[in-house]
Amino acid sequence: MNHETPRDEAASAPSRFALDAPTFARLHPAEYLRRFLAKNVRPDGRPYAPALRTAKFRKTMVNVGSISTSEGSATVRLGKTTVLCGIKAEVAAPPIDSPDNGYLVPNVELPPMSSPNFRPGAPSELAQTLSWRLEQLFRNCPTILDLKQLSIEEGAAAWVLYADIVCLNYDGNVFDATVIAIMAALKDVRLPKATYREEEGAVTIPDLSERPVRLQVGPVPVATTIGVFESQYFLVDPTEMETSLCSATLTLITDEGGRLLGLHKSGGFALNQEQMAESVETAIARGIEIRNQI
Amino acid sequence: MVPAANGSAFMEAGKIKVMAAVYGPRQRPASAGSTSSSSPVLLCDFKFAPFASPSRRGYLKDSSERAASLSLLRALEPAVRYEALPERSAVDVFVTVLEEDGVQASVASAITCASVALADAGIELYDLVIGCSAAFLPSSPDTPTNVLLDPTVVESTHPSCTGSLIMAAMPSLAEVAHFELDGSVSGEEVGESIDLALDACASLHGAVKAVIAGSGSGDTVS
Repeated sequence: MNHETPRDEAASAPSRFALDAPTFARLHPAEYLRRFLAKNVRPDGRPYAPALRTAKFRKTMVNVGSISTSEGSATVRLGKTTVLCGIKAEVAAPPIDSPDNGYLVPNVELPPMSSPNFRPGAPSELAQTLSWRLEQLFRNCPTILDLKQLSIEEGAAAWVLYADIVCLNYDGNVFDATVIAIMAALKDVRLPKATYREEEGAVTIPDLSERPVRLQVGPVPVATTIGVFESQYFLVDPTEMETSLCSATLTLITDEGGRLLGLHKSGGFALNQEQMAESVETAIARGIEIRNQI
Repeated sequence: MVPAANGSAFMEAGKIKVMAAVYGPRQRPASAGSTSSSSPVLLCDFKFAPFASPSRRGYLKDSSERAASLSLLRALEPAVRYEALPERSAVDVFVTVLEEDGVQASVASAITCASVALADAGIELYDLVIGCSAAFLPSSPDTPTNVLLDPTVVESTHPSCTGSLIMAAMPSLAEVAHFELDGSVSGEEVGESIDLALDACASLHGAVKAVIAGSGSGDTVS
């Protein structure tokens, strides 16, 4: 009588074939996310509400001045995303077209340590894009950091600030973290007093241990990234898993006056005016919150 | 430290700050290992953060970082139970030095930190590999040389420094996994320094083991 085949067994115990959550997330990532959002919760536990203004960002932590080999540094955690910005100062000849300026050179590194998807070798396209967008932000909004204060002697010598941002753990939305890190690090910078001696044509730094010069930082830009999933769900501060499923991302950069310093939208999804206004409002609120931390 | 990785560790030794992340065992990249062999490989990547040193470093690995990557590989290799890894797999070890205080001491810390990250990733090891560095500094030209363990950048780049060493040991097996020495040092001094470095590795081994044991389920080792 005992002729039960494996097929019968399976039919009588369907729970054996129920997928556990991590397996389901890997096999059907979009459906996994959809089911969370239908219950008004994000996969990382944040509440989800269709109204953007009630949206929750991940816990943001800023820690300043941990690297003593740099002139200024800051560590920023945005949930599991961690970036470290270290600023090193060197003396160089000023640019020919603006001899009373210095330089700020931002550079973002996404080392293979920070994510299983990054490979060793030359900087990835993503890393280069992030560096470029950061550079554009400072170039197009010169009031953020007036480069004139980096001049040592007009036409002869100026400071170069190398702002290197290293990602320590990548879990999406690294640009927002990067902007916070570079601004906090710039505020932490202390430069030594440098004097230019005309007769020698060289810069002398009388005392390297004394670093009294701080930078005058203008309006602090804060970036807010929103991912759009299936043209209807707006996910602020998306994680890596969410970003990979989003059809569009929107990055807004605001200053303390509530002005937009940059808006970057990628992906094939048309925003309507109302959604745009709501996004700007969210970005301004986020800017106030972050500026209180740095 | 790095939730995205299979295992990770962060270590601070004085001013030195090192982070290590281990990925794998995972699919071996086509570029790694010989194509005819199916044996698993360990891949090590050592990098200083651009702001980690007194003078800025570029994002491309310079020769000292390449040399350190190789030292790291040579130091960790003897500890890994390759037979427990799947065929054609690779274990990636990525180490970033966020702040250095002497290259030798930084490499030694990187070795210790990487072996903890390997253990955290559940890679089977014969023993933890503990790194130790030393510099040889005569206090004056006529007096015998002092062996300074874990030298700072001031000590290891001092003009009177006659040499330096990096040792990686597996203390519970009483084996030396890797040893490198630069400079001109007498045999006697080398003998003395090996004894000192082995003792230092053994005492550090106890402390590191306690950290791993205390971390429980192995989510993070801090």
